[in-house]
Amino acid sequence: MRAPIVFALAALLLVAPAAARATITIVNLDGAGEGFNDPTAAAPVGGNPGTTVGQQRLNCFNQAAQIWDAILGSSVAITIEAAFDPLFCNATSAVLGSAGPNIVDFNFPGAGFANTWYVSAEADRLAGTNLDPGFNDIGAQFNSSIGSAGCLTGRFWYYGFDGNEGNNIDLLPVLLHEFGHGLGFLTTTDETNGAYFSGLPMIFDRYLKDDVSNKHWFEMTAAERVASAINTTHLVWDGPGVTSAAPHVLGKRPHVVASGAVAGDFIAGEGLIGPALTEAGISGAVVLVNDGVGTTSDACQTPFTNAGALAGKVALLDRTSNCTMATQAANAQANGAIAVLIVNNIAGPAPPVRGLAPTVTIPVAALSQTDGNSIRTALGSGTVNVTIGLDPAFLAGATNAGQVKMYAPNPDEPGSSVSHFDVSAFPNLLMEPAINPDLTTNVDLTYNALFDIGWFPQLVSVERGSDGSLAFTHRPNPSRDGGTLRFRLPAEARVDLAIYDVAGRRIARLAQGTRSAGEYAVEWKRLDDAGHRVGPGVYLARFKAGAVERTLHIVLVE
Amino acid sequence: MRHVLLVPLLLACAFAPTAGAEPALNPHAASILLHLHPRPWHPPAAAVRAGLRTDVDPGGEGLGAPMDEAFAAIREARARALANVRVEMRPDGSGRAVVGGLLRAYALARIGPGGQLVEDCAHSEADALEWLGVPVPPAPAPKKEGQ
Repeated sequence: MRAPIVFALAALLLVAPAAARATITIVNLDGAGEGFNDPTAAAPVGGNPGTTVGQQRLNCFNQAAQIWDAILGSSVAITIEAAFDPLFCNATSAVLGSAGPNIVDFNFPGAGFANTWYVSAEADRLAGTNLDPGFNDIGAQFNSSIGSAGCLTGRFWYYGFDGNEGNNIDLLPVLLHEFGHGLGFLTTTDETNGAYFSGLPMIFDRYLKDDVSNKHWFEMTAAERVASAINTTHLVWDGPGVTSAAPHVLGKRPHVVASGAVAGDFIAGEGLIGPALTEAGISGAVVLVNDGVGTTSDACQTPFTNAGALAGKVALLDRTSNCTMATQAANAQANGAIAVLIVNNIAGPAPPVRGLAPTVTIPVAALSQTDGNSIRTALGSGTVNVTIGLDPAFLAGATNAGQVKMYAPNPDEPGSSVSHFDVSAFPNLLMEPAINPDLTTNVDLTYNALFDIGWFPQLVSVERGSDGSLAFTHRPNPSRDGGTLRFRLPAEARVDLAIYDVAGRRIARLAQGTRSAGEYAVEWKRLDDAGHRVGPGVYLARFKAGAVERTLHIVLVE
Repeated sequence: MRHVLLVPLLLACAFAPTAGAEPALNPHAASILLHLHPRPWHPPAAAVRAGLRTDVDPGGEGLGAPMDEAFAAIREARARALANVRVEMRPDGSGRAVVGGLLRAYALARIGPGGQLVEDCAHSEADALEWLGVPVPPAPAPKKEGQ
């Protein structure tokens, strides 16, 4: 029988002004000697000081909880019941784990919208009390068999916090992703039939918008929601938090500009193979690969039969099930290509370039099947020159209007459609359906999405600021260079503006002393009081004016 | 002490045919299908290639053919379970629904032919198992009166 044991996180000394801070607590469901209590000895790794497998697992859960806790700053405790148990796996595939909300609430005191579902963690936060005592907010279960004989052979959980998982599976970003769903990054509406859960929309649905019909999901009929869920590249997130932060999180959109036998400006996909694309781009004539075997344009075999023609040119090849994109790119490079264009083998937009290939040093991008075939066809009538680069006018993963796309493949992919950001986002986002190897402990736009669905009502009221309030704001957020803090004083006051880390340590004082009524802007150059650049992560900006105090969360990115 | 909500997983039902070859299952993964009374389900015509593989790399990972029919009953069981979740009203007019594990997201991993580890996320156990290519037996028929 399992004896639930509550492991509270060490209380974080934060600077929240009004309500006392609570923590996210991991409720250990495992029995003695297993899961979180596995006594197998383990060497500390990647900042995880645990000396047993069980300790390291629990430390990793607590680390994920602490990251979210620092961001959310809820005054009501959030509890996550968790267990490590043997789940399905075989030599090549496995369920790593699962997590999600245990309870959803509606029409509670403090709800931003009536007749709308909220996950209980957020509902508690908004209500200022535990609405569902006796229940844990989030449930999680992860696979304890990973790495054992016959279970993802040769791969193990990596319990470090530093992202150096190598060929293993980094548990921390997986936890951050799944906890993100449990904290509200999901819809309870069934996209396959458009039906609301128990007749009510999810708060998430208020920010899902189809940019063709210009309707939000909560404004649509069920049939319209079904259509919107597969309206690829047109289902967007319509929240001010995500939209305003997107330019500071997402890179520029990759594109391929073609001239010669065909002219066009094609949206491309990118990834982690090869060097980062640049706005200047790389240019060259296109040559269709011929590897001489089977589907000759898949570049799975090397040497190519047309290596001589390809040398110094851009390789055009087809996406395939015969080998990975990493292999294709490596083969093209080995045959003299200066860049690679991978043509999708199914309909739809340009796919992301998946995988890692450390030996590949040439740019790699992907094209939709339609665009790729237009180049392929044109090669039959003449030379096609392309420039593969970044379009400075648009963001990767956002529409031309700057709204971040949601994942809406056609046909629908039950389980991953809608409740994720689109895979065209780059750098990769935590809440994309694919958990990419470049994810770190940065929750990127997920923070802003939670902002939009109402997790931080005090920030909304502050930012409106038209009622003579302090109007304390920070932009951009997340930020690469510190950003600008603004505040408005309705009357003269003694002010104190400082930046703290999540452990409550003051790292920079930006303003102090008496100021007259008016509006002020303070630029923070991301330096601490000693003049050192502050690392990425979550920080708090505390502003005091007389007896009134405001705190903002600031997310710094690489 | 907090009441611990034990969340059974639908995964259990999927492993019966191969249980001998797989690691032991979570003892809490009860045979939840018995409680869900699945009924015949007709997948939408558009869902022919359901699952995450088309995103990951429909070609590149060499994943198997989808098995929509095999997973249809499980999906329907989940849908029915969600439909049957009771909404509890409080005196102040607010309400809640205890959804347990029905809204869980699943983290998945698969090693492709090139040795590349692919990790993904699915929002139901049926989607997870389908993505992983796990064979699923037909869901049991609902029991009739008197059985």
